[in-house]
Amino acid sequence: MKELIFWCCRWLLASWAAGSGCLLAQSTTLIIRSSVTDSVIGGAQVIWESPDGVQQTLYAQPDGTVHMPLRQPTLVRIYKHGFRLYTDSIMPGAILTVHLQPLGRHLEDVVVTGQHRSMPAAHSVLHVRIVERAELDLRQAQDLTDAITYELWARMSRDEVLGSYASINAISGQNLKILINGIPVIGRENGNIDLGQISLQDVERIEIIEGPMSVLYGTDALGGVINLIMREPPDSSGGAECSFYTETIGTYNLAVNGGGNFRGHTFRVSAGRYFFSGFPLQPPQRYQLWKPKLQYFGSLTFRPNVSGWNLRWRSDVLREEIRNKGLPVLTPYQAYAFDDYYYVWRGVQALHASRQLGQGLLWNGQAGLSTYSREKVAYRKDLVKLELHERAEDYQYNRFSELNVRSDVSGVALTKSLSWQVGLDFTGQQAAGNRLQGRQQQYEGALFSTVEYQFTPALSLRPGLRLSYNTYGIPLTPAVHVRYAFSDRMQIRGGLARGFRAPSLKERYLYFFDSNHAIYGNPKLKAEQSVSANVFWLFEYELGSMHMDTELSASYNDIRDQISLALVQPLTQQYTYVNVGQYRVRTVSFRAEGHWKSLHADVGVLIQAVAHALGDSLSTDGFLIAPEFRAQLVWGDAARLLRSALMFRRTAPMPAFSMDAAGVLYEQIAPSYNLMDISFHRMLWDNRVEVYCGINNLWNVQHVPHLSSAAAIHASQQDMAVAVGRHAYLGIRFRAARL
Amino acid sequence: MIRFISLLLIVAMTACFREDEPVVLPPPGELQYAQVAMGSTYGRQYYFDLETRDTTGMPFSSWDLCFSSTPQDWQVWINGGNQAYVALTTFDHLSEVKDTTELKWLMDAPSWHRDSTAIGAWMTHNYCYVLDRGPAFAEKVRYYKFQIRALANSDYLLTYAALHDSAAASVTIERLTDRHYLYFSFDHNGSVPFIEPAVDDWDLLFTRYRHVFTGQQPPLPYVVTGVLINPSVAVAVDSILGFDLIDYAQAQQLTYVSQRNIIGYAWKYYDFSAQAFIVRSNLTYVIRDTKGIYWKLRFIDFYNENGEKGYPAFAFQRL
Repeated sequence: MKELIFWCCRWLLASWAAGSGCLLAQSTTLIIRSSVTDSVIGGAQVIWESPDGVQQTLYAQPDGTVHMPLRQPTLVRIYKHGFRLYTDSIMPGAILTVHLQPLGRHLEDVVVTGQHRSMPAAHSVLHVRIVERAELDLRQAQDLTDAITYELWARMSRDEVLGSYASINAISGQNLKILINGIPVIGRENGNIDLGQISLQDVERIEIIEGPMSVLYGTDALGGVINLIMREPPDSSGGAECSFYTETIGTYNLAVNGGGNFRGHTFRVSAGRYFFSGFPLQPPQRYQLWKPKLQYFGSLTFRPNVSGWNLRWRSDVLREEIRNKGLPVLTPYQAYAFDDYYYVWRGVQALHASRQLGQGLLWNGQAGLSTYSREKVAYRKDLVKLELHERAEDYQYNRFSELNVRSDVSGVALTKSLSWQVGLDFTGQQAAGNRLQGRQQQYEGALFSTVEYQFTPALSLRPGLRLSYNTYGIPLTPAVHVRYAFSDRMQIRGGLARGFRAPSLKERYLYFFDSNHAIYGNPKLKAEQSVSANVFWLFEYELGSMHMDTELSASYNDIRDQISLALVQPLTQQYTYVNVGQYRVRTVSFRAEGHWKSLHADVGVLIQAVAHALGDSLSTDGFLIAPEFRAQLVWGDAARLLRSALMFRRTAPMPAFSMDAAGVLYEQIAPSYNLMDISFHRMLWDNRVEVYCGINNLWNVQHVPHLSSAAAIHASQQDMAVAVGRHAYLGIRFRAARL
Repeated sequence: MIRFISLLLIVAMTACFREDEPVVLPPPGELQYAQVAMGSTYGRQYYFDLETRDTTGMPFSSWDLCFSSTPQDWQVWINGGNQAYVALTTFDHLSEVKDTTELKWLMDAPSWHRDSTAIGAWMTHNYCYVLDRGPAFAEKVRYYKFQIRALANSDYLLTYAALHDSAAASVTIERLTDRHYLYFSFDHNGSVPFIEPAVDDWDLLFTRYRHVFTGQQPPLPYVVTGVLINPSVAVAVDSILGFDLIDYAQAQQLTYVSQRNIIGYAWKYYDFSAQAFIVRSNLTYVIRDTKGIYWKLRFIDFYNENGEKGYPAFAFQRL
């Protein structure tokens, strides 16, 4: 009480001194700590301006304290690599504890993906990678493609019409599960989800788990899981943001966010319009390799304040239009072109609920209804009268919907050494389309459970099992993960798991027959199955004034019964899907991340060995070994509130099988190529405005030659489009109040 | 600031798909004139492209065998302009063919129809052929015996020898995907005398070829000077509307054929009283080229300014 009176008097004195113009310098003490671990943070840079406009800088002591002689309330900025920038107005003479929020790959980050309940990544048995909002901002990531292009574990592929898709550690996009707040994203074209349709406007962070996660997430989680954690509604009274982004290749993006709190009921809305005018821009030529695209999207999150319950309802919609304009046919008598317009609708309604059932007992439930439709409308455009004439024979549509209901209970027992989770998971899928044999459905019901036992504070073991009932023959999926912490700074994690990918409805019920094609689905397809093992060794240490995080990892993944198109009737050129493929991947990677003063360097090497076989007739010649390299250099100038980053990536060659015009499969190897971006980020006007600019694809890599194997006599040496050309960008974000 | 934000909002909200500019169709082309110099002995033949006016010339007699280069086609023609004939023997080894006795000489149809070649379906048997290259050749090099085989990649393998030679030679005639015909000559120990222009680069061939006057008894084969068309070109003949009145709309009402000698030689006739070739200027040929462009053409002369024959002159215009 005496202390309180003392500080109140001191504060009043300071207020009086400031008000009366009597500017006596008073020692102000800040104690800087991590917001997650509460540990002190030494070496943080503290910057403010004295009343005469001179900039002052101090560094925090190893015990996290810094003493500042302030004469009046002053705006103070605190900067430390690996943490978010902290800005606040500090009163003279105050003693304050400041909590910095970690960003990046720090182990203090809280993760939810694959966990019984949210916990710091450092304590998780699973190795969860995180891409923080601050990193997304620095890269000016507009969609999921931009977010992971420079991640070592990911590799992006792009199709001019179908969009972009990722592979994790050489496991392709159709074997990856993408979740938004734990709800699966549906709508795969050619087996992949177009990552360009997943806007990051409302994303708080991205969590990634490499390797099979089928025990918890069922089908498709064979190569890994990418879980987008969306921003929550604000606890405060509310605020709004507006961001604008443009690129010199004809991109104009606009997004707005807002949120509020009404009697404890919180909500958040966001909406956006993304437009890309196509590339290359060569008017009056109408054909463009990268198709023009227009997206509208919006979301609404509502958290009602219900006692004892944690409820969240979220609704997302997206509408996308892509115009694929054909080459014009010009004769003296007519001018026309064949155009295709693609329309995509996505919608997700998700309800999340949790409730504390008792001491250490937590119930979680979620229900998500996802819908996806894609239409292709083909036109013959009269370029003289500018009239569109629909070509009904080329009209296509696909409609998919999925209901995912999940309920689990988790708890702790045996003096908190044992935690467990048991749950039910139901997924029902429905599909219709003019290339499907009628309206089709498939279901999976599963009982899953994981148990995590902490033998010692250093050693944890987590076995898991999924018992499924489905039509594609995967009754049992086991997994086991282990974590051992040698010390606070060194730990090792490992896992051994089985995964599976259920045959898609399209693979089971496709019916595509015209003069050039005869492709039928195969209702008897089995699921693809995999066996995977991985190990991660993490070590954190100080090297002089440099803080280093290192990671050494290795993985093993064998996928069998891979689904592939095969010619089953040579006479009628009839193709169908069969379980013939075998895909084997081995990877070793090393990553080092260092912080030194204002510099933050992150380098990594991934060596992957890939072997692919389709039946007995076609296979790669053993393992194809390819190294990937990634580097990122971030420099921060806290005084000017400026951050800049240089990102580099060298992608490895990758084998793939393609089908030529005669329907003969052949092997192709996509060669390596380099990408480099540079970006700058500055905050202005009391952090109310953020400005981003930079140059993407500095080396202007647009195409790489597709190399065919010697046996591929039918294949043409076509170039593969990998990226749009070099371009500059500018992003501006206005913030009415912090959300 | 408000203005700046408003400007950004307007830019971001109004950026949209680029609309096409309407294409303005070109008016009909200019009336053009051209003349090809076959020579008074008609010794040279010329490929002519209506769009570019490009001409490619060579002696019409420079080839003996003409192979189809079109995928899936396998026909072989002989040079009717040389008055060549071909005969099928009953021998399947060249060394067994020693003379021309009892040979039945055949010639191609003037239309170059695929089903009416003198050599016929050579791939259905192993017998040898004998070619009479024509009366202009010396006796020693006038007759050649040959066999044709199809290679796995669908190229032609030609094995040949002069009639009285025992040593045979072989040559592979490689198909070219962008040509209609591949030409071969027995001269110079077997050679390719020229490569015709690409399919899209010619419309008309002014040449010597053999016509058969079926009105005569017996039918009379006779070498004429005229025009063969590119097989990918279609031609309609009009003698009613007249050259000046034919436009694109009327051209679409006509009936087109791709018979190679549809233009032929009959656009002129020999007036015995005037002792000169007279051009039938009432005949208008409407030509639809390989790109779908329509042209109208009529002949206006057969003589050059020196009064020498063999210089067909014609007027043409894109519709």
